[in-house]
Amino acid sequence: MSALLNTLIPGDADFPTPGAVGLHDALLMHVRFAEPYSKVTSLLPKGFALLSQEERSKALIQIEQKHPSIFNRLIVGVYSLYYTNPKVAIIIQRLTGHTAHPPQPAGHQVAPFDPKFLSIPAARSQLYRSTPETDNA
Amino acid sequence: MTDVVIVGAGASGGAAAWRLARAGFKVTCLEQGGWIDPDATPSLRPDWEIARQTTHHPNPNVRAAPQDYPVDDTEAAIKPFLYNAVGGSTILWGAHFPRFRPSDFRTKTLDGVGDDWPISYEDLAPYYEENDRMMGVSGLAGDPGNPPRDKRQMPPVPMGRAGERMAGAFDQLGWHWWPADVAINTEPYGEGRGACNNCGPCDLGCPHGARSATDVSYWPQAIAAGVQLITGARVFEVEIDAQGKASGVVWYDRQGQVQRTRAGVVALASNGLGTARLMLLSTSKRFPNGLANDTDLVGRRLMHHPTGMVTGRFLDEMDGWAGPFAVSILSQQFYETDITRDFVRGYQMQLLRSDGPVGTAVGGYLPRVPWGQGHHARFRDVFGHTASLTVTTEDLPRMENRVILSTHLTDGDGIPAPKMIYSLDDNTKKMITHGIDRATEAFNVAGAADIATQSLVADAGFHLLGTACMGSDQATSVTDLNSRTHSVPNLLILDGSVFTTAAALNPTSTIQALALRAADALTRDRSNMQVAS
Repeated sequence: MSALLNTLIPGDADFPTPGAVGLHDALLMHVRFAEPYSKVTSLLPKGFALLSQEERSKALIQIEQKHPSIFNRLIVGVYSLYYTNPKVAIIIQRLTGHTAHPPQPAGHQVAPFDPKFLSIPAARSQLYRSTPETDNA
Repeated sequence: MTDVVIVGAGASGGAAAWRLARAGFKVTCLEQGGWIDPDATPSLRPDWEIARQTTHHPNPNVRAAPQDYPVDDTEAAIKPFLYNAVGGSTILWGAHFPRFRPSDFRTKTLDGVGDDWPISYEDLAPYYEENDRMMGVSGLAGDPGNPPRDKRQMPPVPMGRAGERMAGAFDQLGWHWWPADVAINTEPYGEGRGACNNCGPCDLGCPHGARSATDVSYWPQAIAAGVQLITGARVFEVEIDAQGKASGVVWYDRQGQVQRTRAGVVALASNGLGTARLMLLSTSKRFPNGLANDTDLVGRRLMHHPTGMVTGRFLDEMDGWAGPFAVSILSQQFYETDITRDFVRGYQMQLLRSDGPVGTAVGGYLPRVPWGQGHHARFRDVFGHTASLTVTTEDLPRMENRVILSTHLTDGDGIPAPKMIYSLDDNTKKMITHGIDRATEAFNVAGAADIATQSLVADAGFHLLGTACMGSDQATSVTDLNSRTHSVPNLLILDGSVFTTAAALNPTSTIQALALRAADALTRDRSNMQVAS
């Protein structure tokens, strides 16, 4: 079944294929994603794994066009489980600096707001419209 | 028997419960959801982004939790976003906390469209102040786009790299911008609430209590003031007596047993969808078309904030995953009506940061990263390199946009689900087009490498407004200026259902200010209040 997943996310010099990080088992065990995975798998043509990458892509495009809802749910599942896989998260951290840890409890460092940016906008004239009540206030 | 029963423990229910209990009322609040454990927030887990796509998805039809009710959105251009828990939809909000402008209350007088509210900005101003103090607001005084007001409780949230870049672009274009007012602590504020650590996904909850929600702001104080809060209580009918006054509510408990709470005053605070649903469910000989629905206005005039989206991709890192995802800076340059344009009223542009890896790949601000060859190349191009401007437009009320009861969907207790019927009018479409052009211009000036646009974000039904509108004319509105229904004097509507018009701004601070004001009016009129016999 890695042929299906590895066609969706082929992997490259930095990133592993889904098959290499155990996505097949993860999908089968997931309470929400197992169903679309099984359904799309059942729609694959015979001998899918033996096809070339290009032929596999064509077959999946046909399934996506005929069954957009279930295919969409599979993509959400594949991307969700792939990009939260610890091995993938470590690669993203190395490439981008985005932490492989959950966002809490550590959070992120961001420079605090600097009032120096406001010199131009603070000098603008009133931009909101008055009403009879604001005129009388 | 309780003095006041409130249905819903969200933004407005929490505020009103606190205010009324402090005034001496015996208050009971019924909430179909439960308490959210801050230590169980998904942002503490490695699979936090999966939660966003599943168990913590803002669309109840996707989330499908036991406490949720489904929404029939088959005839709605915008899909529902809401949450059922103590705190309501503030549990998953971005905490953008602007006030309406004075002109938002006078669209008929100023622009000849919509209707004037029976109250003004000035009537609400003291309640905005009080609500800010309770929720905790970070921001900065001096915005030329809004009337002068008190200093915020805390300084603004960080702008981030994208914020600084876009602020420079707005300055070059000569456009208004200002740091957003947000209900997020940039310093410790409130009871046991810490400061934001810029983790990003405010929508998943905040273990530090930095992002305000009524479960950490109003509710602890409301309970201390004596409010009885019952969770797991799904109200399905407001009962009336022979004289047509509200006498209480009927609800299912968690075991599916029918319970009844009698009250002198019934207050609905279940958002523009849930409140309309409950009123339509509450039929009787006196109100065969639904409670307080003599004029067939209950459920009608449904308003959202139709939103377009423009996303710029920069060659340099924006680190948009850091900082509160929905708030940074905003521009109200095109907010007020300008007769040289081909539409009336206006819109706000709000800068959004960006997403984590899953959100980036699945798509949202940008189209989905395509599967197949080139997937990772595209992922590298966009992840951490983008920022987005929303084009958040004013949605003028129309009778045909409405909430009705679904004929085929029910919740877990067999109660008919609400159905939204909603489309955009030409004025709104022109506004979005104009806004997308302007936001694109801003990204070009900011040096974006490429720009993607969405003419309508379907998953943006987070502001559910107008379905039991406020007005001075009983023939054209459901409630009076104090949020009391015209035809049932002891029935209050506390949520965004009462909005006469929607403005083009996030509504929560206005919803809560109205709820506080309604509570004070009830307190003031207590001795003359008509209650069920």
